[in-house]
Amino acid sequence: MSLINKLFDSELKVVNLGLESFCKDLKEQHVECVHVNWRPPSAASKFLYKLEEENLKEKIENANREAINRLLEAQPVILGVGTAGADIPGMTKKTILHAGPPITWDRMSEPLRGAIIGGLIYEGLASNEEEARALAASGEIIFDACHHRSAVGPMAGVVTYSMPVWKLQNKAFGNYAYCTFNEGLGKVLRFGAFSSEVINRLNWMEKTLAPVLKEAMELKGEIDLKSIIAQILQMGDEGHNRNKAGTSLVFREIAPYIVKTNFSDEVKAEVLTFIDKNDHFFLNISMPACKCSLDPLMDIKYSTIVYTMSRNGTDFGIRVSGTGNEWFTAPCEIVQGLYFPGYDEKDANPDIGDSCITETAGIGGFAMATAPAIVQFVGGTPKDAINYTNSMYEITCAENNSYKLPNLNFKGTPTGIDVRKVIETSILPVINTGIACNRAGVGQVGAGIVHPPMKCFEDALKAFVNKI
Amino acid sequence: MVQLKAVYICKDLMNYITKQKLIEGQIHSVFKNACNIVANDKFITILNKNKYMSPMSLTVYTEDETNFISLGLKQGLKVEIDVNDIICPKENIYINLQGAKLWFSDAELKPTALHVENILNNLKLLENTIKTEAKLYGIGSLVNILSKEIPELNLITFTIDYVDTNFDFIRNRFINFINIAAAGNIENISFAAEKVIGFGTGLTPSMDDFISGMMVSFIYLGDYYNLNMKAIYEFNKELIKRGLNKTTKISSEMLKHSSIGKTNEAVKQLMLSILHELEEEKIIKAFINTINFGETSGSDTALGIYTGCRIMTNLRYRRVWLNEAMH
Amino acid sequence: MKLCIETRKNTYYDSVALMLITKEIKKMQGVKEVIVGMATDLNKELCANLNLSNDEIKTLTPNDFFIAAASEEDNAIEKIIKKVDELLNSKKDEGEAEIKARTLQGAVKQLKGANMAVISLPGKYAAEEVRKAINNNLHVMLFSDNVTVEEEIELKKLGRDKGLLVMGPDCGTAIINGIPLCFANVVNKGDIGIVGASGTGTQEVTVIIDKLGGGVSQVIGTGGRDLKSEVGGIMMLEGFKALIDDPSTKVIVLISKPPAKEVAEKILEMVKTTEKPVVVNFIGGDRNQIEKSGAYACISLEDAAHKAVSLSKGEVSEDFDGFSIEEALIDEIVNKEAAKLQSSQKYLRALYTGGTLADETMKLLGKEGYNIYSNIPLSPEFRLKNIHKSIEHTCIDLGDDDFTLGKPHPMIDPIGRVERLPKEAEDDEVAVILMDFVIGYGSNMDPAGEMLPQIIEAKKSFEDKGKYLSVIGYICGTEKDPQSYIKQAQKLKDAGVILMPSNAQAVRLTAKLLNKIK
Repeated sequence: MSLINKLFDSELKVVNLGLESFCKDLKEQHVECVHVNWRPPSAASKFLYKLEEENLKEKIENANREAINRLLEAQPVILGVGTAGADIPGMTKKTILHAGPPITWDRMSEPLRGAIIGGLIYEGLASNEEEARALAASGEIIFDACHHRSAVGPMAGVVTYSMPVWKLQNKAFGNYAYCTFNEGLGKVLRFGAFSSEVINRLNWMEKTLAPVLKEAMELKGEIDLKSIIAQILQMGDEGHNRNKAGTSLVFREIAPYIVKTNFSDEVKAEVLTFIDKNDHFFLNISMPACKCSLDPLMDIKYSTIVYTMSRNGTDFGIRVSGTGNEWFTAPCEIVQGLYFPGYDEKDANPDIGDSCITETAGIGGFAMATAPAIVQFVGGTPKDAINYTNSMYEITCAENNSYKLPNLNFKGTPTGIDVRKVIETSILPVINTGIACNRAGVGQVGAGIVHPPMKCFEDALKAFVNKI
Repeated sequence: MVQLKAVYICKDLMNYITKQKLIEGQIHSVFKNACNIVANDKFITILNKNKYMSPMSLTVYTEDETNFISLGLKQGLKVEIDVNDIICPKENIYINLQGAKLWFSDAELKPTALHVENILNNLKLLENTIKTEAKLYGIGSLVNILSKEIPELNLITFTIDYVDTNFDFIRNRFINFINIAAAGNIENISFAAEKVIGFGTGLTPSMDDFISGMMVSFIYLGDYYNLNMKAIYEFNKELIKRGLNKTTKISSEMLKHSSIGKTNEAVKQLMLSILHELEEEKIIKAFINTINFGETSGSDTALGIYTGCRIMTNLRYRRVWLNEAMH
Repeated sequence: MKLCIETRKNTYYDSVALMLITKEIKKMQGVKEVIVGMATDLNKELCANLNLSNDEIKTLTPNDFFIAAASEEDNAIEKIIKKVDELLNSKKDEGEAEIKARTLQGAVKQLKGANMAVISLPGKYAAEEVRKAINNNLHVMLFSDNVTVEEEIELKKLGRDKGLLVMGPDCGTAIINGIPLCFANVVNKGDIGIVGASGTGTQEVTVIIDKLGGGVSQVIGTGGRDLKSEVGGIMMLEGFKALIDDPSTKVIVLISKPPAKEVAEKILEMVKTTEKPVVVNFIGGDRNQIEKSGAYACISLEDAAHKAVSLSKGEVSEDFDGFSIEEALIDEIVNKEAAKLQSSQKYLRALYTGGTLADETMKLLGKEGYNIYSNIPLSPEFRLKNIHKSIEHTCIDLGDDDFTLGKPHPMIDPIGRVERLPKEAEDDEVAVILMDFVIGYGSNMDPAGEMLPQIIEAKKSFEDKGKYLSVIGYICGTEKDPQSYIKQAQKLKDAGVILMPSNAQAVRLTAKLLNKIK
């Protein structure tokens, strides 16, 4: 039977491009019709044609399948606690790691500079702000992206030699990931504060918090993060901006072992209280979990999957599997969101932090549908949260096999951003994030939604096409 | 994608787009019935199909009334313009320029069959219509003062129900400005104008609308009386020179256009009615169409036209502009 | 007295809003003085003069908005800001109700079993999306025009090779599985299948089939250019074949303006391949050629419908060239109208929104010996020099490009005809106005209502001159259409319009009237 005659025998199901009134008329007649919010192809989408050729297309599809499989097979676990100096590859007393793509001191924004100043003071390399600034600008300090050293950091993401770090491993591939402990809210290093309050807390974390957690982990063994992340998505968290459930679950996992350590009751109580009072404690665990899940995708020839998204407060950078460790950067945008009383757009720093590694792995903003509470902080309605997640399916390759969304009928989260689809649809990945103040040390001034600049994806596509 | 179709487009705008080939601009401001774009320092306005065409603007059609705000247009959004279309990529809005009818903003200066008595009669009609229909809370109070302060102008008094204290402040400057303008005093006009331009509420402050009307009437009447047009254009240019950066961008653009006689369709029809129309009904209709423009913008412009006409129809003021060749 | 200042940089409110704000704030309790506006130098000076200025205001530019007020109340500024925001109604819109896909691909993913794409994008983008649709195995309804002939040929060949429908470009009418697509009427289901290359022509045939108690199985559109020699009738042939193979279709009707010679031959060849009766309306085409191939020729769109309905009942009908009501009653109407006309009134002005109907009108009147001027004339010597000025007998297609540049089609927005009718009414030699009113999906919600004031006005102006203007009309639609057919008819009848049940009959009535007053 010809397809036309088949059509006569079927129910009409229509896709509408153009005048929306046609779609409305069809719906009035109870015909299933989807209206396409169509937009003209961009200049970059011309490159997409070059990838349409049969053979090439197949190679890309195969490579992407490989990439997605690696991501979905990841088994991130917490091994224990270490220090940056001992565990992070190539770390020296004068090395400072930061969030985002590589950047020089002169181009850094204030929160990042503030964090570096704090880091230098903490390490004893400078005794005050003036000295720290001079030292940072001198060329003696080696700056590098956390991402280059298997590490990630939220906001300024500054990691220095003496800092304690979580040690994670992706059991499926053996690769490691590291992240410092989350300091809490208010005046903290990651927002660029470097007052004595900050330094004192860093010292307490190094000398008190870390040893307790280290011993507790030695007693506990490992903590499986995949199942924890899967659980928190069903508890209203999304692993980036909302981490209450995650923090609570980790607290439950580790509290009995903290009690069993050889420290004084007072110290154990301090540590437990510290975790309890910090809703975002889990962020510094979810981030490296995503990092070590994504690193194995680093160099799959012909794959267009994005395995890194990150910002340093000045530039937004992405890395694509098929183009290896090349960064594609463009100026970060300003976050659109709600501001805490007393603050507004004038106070906002451009987007900053490695935390969008969570979105890269399919949680965070991509799982917004499951965290409707977040709309209170970023503006919008719960319907918006669902719409955001739904639109992400258009730019990703797969539905996650472990991370499911209860209110979307347990559909897996949109996972595996495909550069080609971003260009084709003009839909940019959505990121839920905090807004840092553009003056060092003030802290968080709001929260909201931000997107990577399209240019990153356009450049990545061009480079990809040139490479093959 | 929302598709709109351009119905009319200003010829100057079309020429500009054709010359530039591709223009990148940004949305400057959005209202229910209009949207302004700024590109390379030029101002482009998109209007609802019901609005009168203006210089550097275009009108668009959709099935329901276009409400630019609910289309999602916002300040700062990027816009791309070429001879075929205007696209706002972020909000996925596409305006098809093909087939749009060209509209000319230039002053339509042409010989008329009317005698001076007819024109003066039309001015009387304008007076009456202003008295009964115009919104006088823009520049109305100030113009009202002129009838007492400068009786030679032969302006009527209106009844104004209230007294706005704002105007005391500017009263004397305005009288001074009118005196200098009426005298055709090119040496002092820019200084006098500078002291009043930008005064009043509105994106096009009432004073600016008034001055627009006045400059336009100088041009049309200058042509009617066969005056030294070159000098009149120079005068207008000089008039606005210092005031251009003292007022809103939108008003600044309007003043520039008006100074060379380029106006919106309603004002053009008003001037043409004054100079060419004999049927009372049609003249009054043209006045009312102008008066209904904006909130007080139309009325303020009509007052400016009225004042300018009174100046030009008075030989005492007009003789400054006589062509040397005529003597 | 407290000074309350609110500034908003680079913010523009329209004058109505500003007026409202000023008024409302002035009314507020305790407010003694207020200035609202853009911070031009003058306005800033004014503020200073009235002691309503401060440093913040001084730093503003003319492109910044400000409110400066003096109030006796505490917290006045908060109240003022609240009031302003209320007035400006700057509430955010509620979140979107449904997800819309961003691409065709995304939509296909979302809609399981999608089988058709309806595309009405601007011409320059349409072809690529059609290609994508075909690659996704979707049939296509392509409403867009300004698609090149080369693209049309490529896409139709692509569709044909995959066995998919590519209806268009410039295809406005189709009814698939009983569902009207784009501009089409709601018509009874039945066993008559149609392939049509012209929008209103197809609509006319379907509504008359419905009126006669018949019904349609499928109505396939091909777009206006399909039967030109370059395109070669690809879709007409594909659609024809599908109807031949469709068990629900017992009678087939083919509608088009006269095709290119070789294309007509190909189509008529196919007639021989089926036992199903085929009615061919190549509007004005060669009757002999059609009948030689075994198909039934027709003299009008209405006739095509009549023949199809008869054939579906197993009968063969004669050419229908008469009226649905008794000839005697028709003559009565004609005589009454003629009696009111003055002898100086001789001309017909037919104002059509449907191009094919206009074409049919001219052909039928041509047979009666009338030469009709038009913007789409039957022969070049009758082209109107100025399409905006009718002369003698004139029939205009207001939907033609010349009239629709920069404007929507008159079936959507009748403004073109609303403005044209008074012009015709200024001509004292006009006797008859003939108009079509097309309803159905896609059309204006009230075509009759939109024209009504002008019709009444025109008739009155003729009365005032001691003359009479005869207005004959035809509503192309069914009672199931979203516009109320009955209400439309009532409105027109009440205004004195004589309504006929088909375009051909409206024309025939007109011809009788013109003959009478000759």
